[in-house]
Amino acid sequence: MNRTFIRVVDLYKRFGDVVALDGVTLDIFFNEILVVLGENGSGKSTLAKVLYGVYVPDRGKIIVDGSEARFSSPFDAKKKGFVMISQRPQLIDDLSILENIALFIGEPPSGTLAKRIEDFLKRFDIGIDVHKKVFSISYTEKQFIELAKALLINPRLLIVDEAATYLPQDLKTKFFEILRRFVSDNRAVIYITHKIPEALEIGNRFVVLRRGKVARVFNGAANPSELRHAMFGTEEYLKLVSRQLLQRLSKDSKNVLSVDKLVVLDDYGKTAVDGLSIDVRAGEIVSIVGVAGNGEKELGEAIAGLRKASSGSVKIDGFDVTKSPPSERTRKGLVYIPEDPFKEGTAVTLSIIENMRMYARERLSQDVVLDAIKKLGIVPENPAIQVSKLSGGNVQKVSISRLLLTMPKVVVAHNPTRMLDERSRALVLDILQRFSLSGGGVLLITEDVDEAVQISDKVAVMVDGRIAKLFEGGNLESFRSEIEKAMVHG
Amino acid sequence: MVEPILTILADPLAIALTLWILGDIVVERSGVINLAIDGIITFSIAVTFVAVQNIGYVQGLLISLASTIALSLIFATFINVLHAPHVLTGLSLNIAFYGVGALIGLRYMKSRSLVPIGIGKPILALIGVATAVLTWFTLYRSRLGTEIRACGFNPRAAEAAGVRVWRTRYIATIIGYTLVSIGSYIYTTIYRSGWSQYTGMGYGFLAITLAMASSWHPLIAYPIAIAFGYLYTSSYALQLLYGVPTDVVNALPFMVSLAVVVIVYATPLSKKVAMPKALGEVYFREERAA
Repeated sequence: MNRTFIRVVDLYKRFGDVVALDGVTLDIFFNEILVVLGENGSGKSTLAKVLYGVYVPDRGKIIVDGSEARFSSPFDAKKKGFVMISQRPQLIDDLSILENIALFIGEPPSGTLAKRIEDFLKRFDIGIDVHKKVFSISYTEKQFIELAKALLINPRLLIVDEAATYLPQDLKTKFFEILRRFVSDNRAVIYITHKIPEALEIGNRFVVLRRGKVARVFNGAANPSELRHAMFGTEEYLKLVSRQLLQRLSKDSKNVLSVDKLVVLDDYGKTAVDGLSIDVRAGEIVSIVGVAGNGEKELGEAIAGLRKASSGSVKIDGFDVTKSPPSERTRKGLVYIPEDPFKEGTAVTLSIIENMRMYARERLSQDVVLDAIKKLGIVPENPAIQVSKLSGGNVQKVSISRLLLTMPKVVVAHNPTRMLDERSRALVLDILQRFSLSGGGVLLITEDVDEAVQISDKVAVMVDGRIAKLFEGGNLESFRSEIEKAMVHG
Repeated sequence: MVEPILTILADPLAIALTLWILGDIVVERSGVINLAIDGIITFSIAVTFVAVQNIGYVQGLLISLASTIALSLIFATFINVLHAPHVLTGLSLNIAFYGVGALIGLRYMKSRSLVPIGIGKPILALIGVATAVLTWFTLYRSRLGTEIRACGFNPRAAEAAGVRVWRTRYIATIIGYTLVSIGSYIYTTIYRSGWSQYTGMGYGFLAITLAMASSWHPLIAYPIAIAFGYLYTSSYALQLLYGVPTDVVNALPFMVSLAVVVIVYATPLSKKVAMPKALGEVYFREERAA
């Protein structure tokens, strides 16, 4: 029989006009991995943050071991043995790995602690100098440090908020093993994701949230189709990305973007992009895939004009823009969708419509705005809402909306679907496909191999600032494992 | 050889300045712009002066500590509880504190001076060195210090790691202003031993500037404070001994400070001692942002 560990009763949380949780009631049992699924803005992350004490709920109770628990900050939640690993690593860049972990487990950053951490990491075959500052390690390493520090304090409840979704496959497999072993000992895991295959792989039970309410609970087995219906009410969107093997006009069309022997430095003066060349023709989708931290970000920024190129050149639609400011490149027909929608993609203190006007740099009629909101499925549909009140996925959609507001010749998008649910992702990939069909060029910089092989004409693997391998041809899906291998080993 | 060095290290103005700067560093490392420090220093010098004159030296120190910390808690409450903008809060409180200090001083002052405390040079020098090292140790080697610095770098991430940001900032404020108060005590009873309206005004801003010049690092701040104090107090000697023009002599402490800033920021040192990035950020936990 399942014993109840935590009972969440009638939780409400709103941010201004946005209702994030609208009466959520659910049980978490001992020894289980409970997967929480839901579309963007369904309240998954808010639920996680309420359980970890980051947000105080407006109404409702959390009952732990039969008595009510009140968390006024993560400090209180940690005392109950609750730990959350966030969507994006919550580490302090200017502190060392050791100091970050010391902070979390509440000890001074001593030499003995350093030894303990190194021993712990060695069990996962990770050799890393814990005295390194966090800003100098890669995104994947940061994610793993987050996982490691959570496991080091031996929590009773581990809340994983989409933190493992983009780990490299081998690390992910290892992490899943750890989770399965972890819950066997009167503990529990809440695993939040929008990836259905991942959910089915790891979950014992499944809760689907929709618009802040529990839409359905699956006690035991679930199948993808049922989950999709519970999440979105439909499966229609799946047809959007089933590659229609398009008759593209690419073959002899001209280059809309050419990058030639580009060299770009990162923030710390190290070479991030190392003599990279790539061309995108009109009507073509080219993907650059790579594990985060191999120079993808710097490449995107150099093309957009936000980062100086040390040498090499960038041409947009035949014009050399290597020395031009971003505004000039935008006028030549470039649209750049940056990786981080919060810091770079939107002005979060402005409303949705104000952001869109900013992208378009001209008057936009209400109709155009509402149409973009509908096409991307932004929730809530009210254009006057401040972007900071939206969920992560919806902020990302606002960032992507610039694609629909201008008539670009080439789009450079960096991880545009990272935070999106399956349906929104399909919508965005469909928009990119339609754009290329209408004669635009797309450079998709992504760590998601699935989307790269699904919609691209070419897939380039980026390692250490260079193109390690280029795949092209009819069925890129068949190169999948080769692509993944190249990403890790170059 | 030992004697002149000791004299430099035991210069009471340099020691007071050291404590003010170190106090400011502790507060600002927690992410709070500490502009109220100038008003609080002016206030605590006035309170120390009249308390020592009316009651006694030991009681004077205690009264100075208690009242200085009380004022700093008003400042901290505006920042932590009411989420007020740091610069605005600091500047407006300054004006109030200058006034309160002057009022108390003028009301209770018996005469314009008091008998300075005679304290051995080795002890004074030790206070300076020990405070610098202890502050460094607390900030860089202890659990509390790691928490304080974390709040100054990224309060949101610190909160997620289980640090209670508002509590940590309160603690940093109390520690910082304890040092500030002792600095003011040394200034009043050893260096100046006199008081007039607004004595000490401007030292707070000097401390903020020199703390910034040290990139908020106690062990860099210490030599800056000592060099500044030495040049400031011995300027007449330089003038007499070497015939350096007055204008140059007066500008010298500031020029040396500038030189230190250049050295710190032009070398890899600045990469090693990162500045508190969230300094001045109004932090409100419930804001929705990933």
